[in-house]
Parts: sequence; C-alpha cells; structure tokens
Amino acid sequence: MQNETIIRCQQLIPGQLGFDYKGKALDLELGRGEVISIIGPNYSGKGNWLRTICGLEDQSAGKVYLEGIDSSDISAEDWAKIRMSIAYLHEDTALLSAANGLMNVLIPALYHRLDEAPEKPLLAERALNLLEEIDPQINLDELPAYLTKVHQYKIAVARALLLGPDVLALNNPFAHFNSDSKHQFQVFIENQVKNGLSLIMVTHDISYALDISDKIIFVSREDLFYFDSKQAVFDCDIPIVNKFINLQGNQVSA
Amino acid sequence: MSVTQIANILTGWPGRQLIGQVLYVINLVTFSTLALRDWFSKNRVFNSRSYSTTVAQIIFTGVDALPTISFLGLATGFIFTFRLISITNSLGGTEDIIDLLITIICLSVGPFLAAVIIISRTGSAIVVDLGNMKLHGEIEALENMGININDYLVAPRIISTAISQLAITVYFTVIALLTGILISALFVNPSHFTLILKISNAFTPYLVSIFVIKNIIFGYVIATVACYNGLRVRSSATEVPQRTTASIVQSLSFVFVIDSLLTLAIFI
Repeated sequence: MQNETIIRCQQLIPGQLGFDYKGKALDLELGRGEVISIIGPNYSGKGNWLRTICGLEDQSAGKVYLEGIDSSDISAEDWAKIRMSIAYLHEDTALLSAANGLMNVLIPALYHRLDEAPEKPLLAERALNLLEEIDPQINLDELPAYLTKVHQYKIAVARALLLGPDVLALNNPFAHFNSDSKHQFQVFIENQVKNGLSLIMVTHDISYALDISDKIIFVSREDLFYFDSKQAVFDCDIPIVNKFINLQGNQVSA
Repeated sequence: MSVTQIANILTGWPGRQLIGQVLYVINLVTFSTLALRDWFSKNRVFNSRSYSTTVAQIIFTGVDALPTISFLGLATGFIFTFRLISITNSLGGTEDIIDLLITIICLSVGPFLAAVIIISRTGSAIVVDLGNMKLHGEIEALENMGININDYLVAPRIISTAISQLAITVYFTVIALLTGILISALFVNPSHFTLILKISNAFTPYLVSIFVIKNIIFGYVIATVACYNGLRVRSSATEVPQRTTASIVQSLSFVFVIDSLLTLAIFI
C-alpha cells in the first residue's frame, strides 16, 4: 500500500526561507499511508519547507513532483486536481466568513462538482458523517466568527477531507487545542492514516511527531537531518538535534 | 509642437498621469478578460456554486435595491420628466417632447443614476467583501483547495452586476417616465397621457441597442473596478476603506468618461 509515491522531492531547497541557507537539500518520497514530520527550532523555516514540498512556494533549487507532475510545469487543470489531492492547512486556515459551518465544508466539494460524481451521491450526508466523526459538538449552523478556533480548525480539516485528498499537509495543527481535545483530534487523524491517508506535518508536539511518524526531518537554519524512526532521533550524535530534544524536557521520552 | 516638447510632456507629471491611467485601463481589461475566460472555460454558467453566487449577487444588486430605485425613479420623474414636459409644452414644442424624454431620461439620466446607485451600493460592497476575504486569508484558503478565484468570485460579480445595471435602469426609467407623464397629465394637460404610447412607439431597435449596450458596459466596468480594488488589498485593515474610496472614485470617473464617449459616438 505504501509503494505509491505521491510527493517526491529531489535536491529541494525552498526559495522563501528568509535567511541564507547553506545546508543539505531535501530528498524525500511520501508514499500512500505514510507519515512524515518536520520538526526543529522556532524560526528555522519549517513552514517554508512544508509549503515548498506541497508546491505552494517556489523553490530556489531542486524539483518537486506532486502526483508525478513536476510542480514547475503544472497546467491550470492539473493544479486544481493536485490542490484537491494534497490538502494544505495551517493552524489559522480561514473559513468563508459568510457561510455557516456546514456550507464551509460543502462549498469546495460543490465547486469541484463532487456531488455530480455517480459513485459519490449524498455529499451533504458524507460531510455530516465526517463532521460527526471529527467532533459532534460543532455547531454547524453558526458562522465561523461565532465558533471557537478549535471548531474552526476542525471544520477546515473536514472541508479538506471531503475533497478526498491523498495527502494531508498540516502546519502546526495542534496550536489551538488543549490536551483533551488534542488527543481526540490526534486519534481522528490516526484513523484517517490507517485508512490510507498520507500525512506530512510541521508540529511542536515532538512526542506525537516521533510516535506517529515513519520518517522525521529535523530542520534548522543551518542544515537538515533525516531519521527513519523515533529511536534514530534519540540515538543520533548530532549536537543541535540532541539539544533540541533535551529542550523539550519531559515531553519526549524514548 | 516639437517632438522634444511632446517628449517633455510625456515624461513630466501630466505624461506620467496619462501613462498611469492607460496602464490602469489595460490592467482592468486584462483582469476582467481573464476572469471571464476562466468562467467560460469551466462551463460553469449553471454550475451549482458559481450559478448561486451569480444569482445571489443579482438579488443583492438588483432586487434588494428596488426600494431605493423606486424612490429615486419617482423623484426623477417629478424633477426631470415633469419639468421637461412642462417647459417643452409652454414653449409650444410638443413635437420635441418624445425626443427629449428618450435622450435625457432614457439614455442619460436613467443609466447614470442607476450607475451611481450601483457604484455606491454594490461596488463598495464588493470591495469590502473581497478585501476582507483577502485580508483574512479566505481567498488563499480557497486557492489552496484548487478553487479558481476568477471563476468563483470575480466573474459572477461582473456578470451579475452588468445584468442588474440593465434591469434596474429599465425599472428606474419606466418609473421616472410614468411618474412625470402622470403628473403632467394630471396638472398640465390630460392629453399628455398619450406620451406613454408615443414613447414606446419611438423606441427603435437602434435606441434599444444603445440603451442595452450602455448599461451593460456601465455594470461591467463598475464590477471590474470593484473586484480589482478588492483583490488589491494585501495585509492591512486600513487598505479596505482606502480601496473602497478608490473604487468609488474610479468607477464614477469611468462612468463619466464612457457616458461622454458613447454620447459623442451616438449623436455626432
């Protein structure tokens, strides 16, 4: 199941890091059902790396292949399909302020005419099921301005998932959660991964990132390092990585 | 005037302003052409989301504006139509009444006042709406989901505003004419009731074409200027009122210029 490569990066360096990066370029393959986490200190450009991997920012070097298509040579039609299949969300992803919770989830799917696909009838029913699964407490009749940040974020995730993506790219996904609601959301995300969704995320929840990820990329302003397991992170003798893990204190344990 | 003098003017302040305005018009034409191209290329005339956006905009611009339009139509009928008929009647030039009413009320005052209402009401609303969407990251989020902003937000607003401009001008003009004719028939000369029939007979296909084209151009330009300014908002909340003001001023200027050019084209 994990053989199909959805995102492939070759010698990639983001173009909008905002500082002079002299470290290694990124070589990466994200297969179906895989989880990759990007971790590292603050202001190390993790978000830029993620956005560049997703094809949303230009690179200064290297190539990104999204669903097999070179990101620098994408037609408008392919662009729409890729944006549906590689869903990028940051912690404050905006909802449409003039539409209620349910319509926010439905509008992109309706725009892409998913309601007309013969095998996918009852789009609204699927949206309601998805929202029920993600959080039954969300008031779907309210406008986003009257919802909590957590509910807004969950609606944004449901909106992206209704488009049937292959990859969910999450930038700092747990920023607005408390510990209880974060755990529920993490379980939801893990279930999606079990069902074949690929996940690539930038997070400050290092413990969760190390637990769930198949690959871990440590990014600093000077360099980046690859790890293929949690144990590899703890076993490495790279000072900046060791220092970062130690700074996380009792949050992370081998 | 020598070539050097012309070059000096073009490189001086007036020249820069002129070049700036020409480039701005080119930007607007390109912007609206791309929006309509994306709309038609996706064949979304009756697609559920774009269609409903278009209908919602028509309701806001056309239907919701009817009370204001009705009031202004009644006032215009009293101020312009009735006075035109009275003055022409007192001068003995009853033959000219029809021409005057068609030229002034139907082809000039009606489209212009309807355009002013749409600029102040719909144009400003479009700028604030799109400006706030841009400011709050809603447009970025839509684009990240593969939604074409031209197709989903811009083109429906341009098309529906053009349609609404035409519809409310028809409504406004009918009210303004009927009000003026009724008042003059009641207070000046009952035979003026026949003006209603005479005006409808005098409206040739040529005049109807001019009326339709003029209003559609007005609506098209007003919405294009509004969408363009709304999407130029970048990251500060203060840009929204600035862009709104700019849109109103620019739309009014364009309406004046287009009205003048069309008048010249038609009557010279």
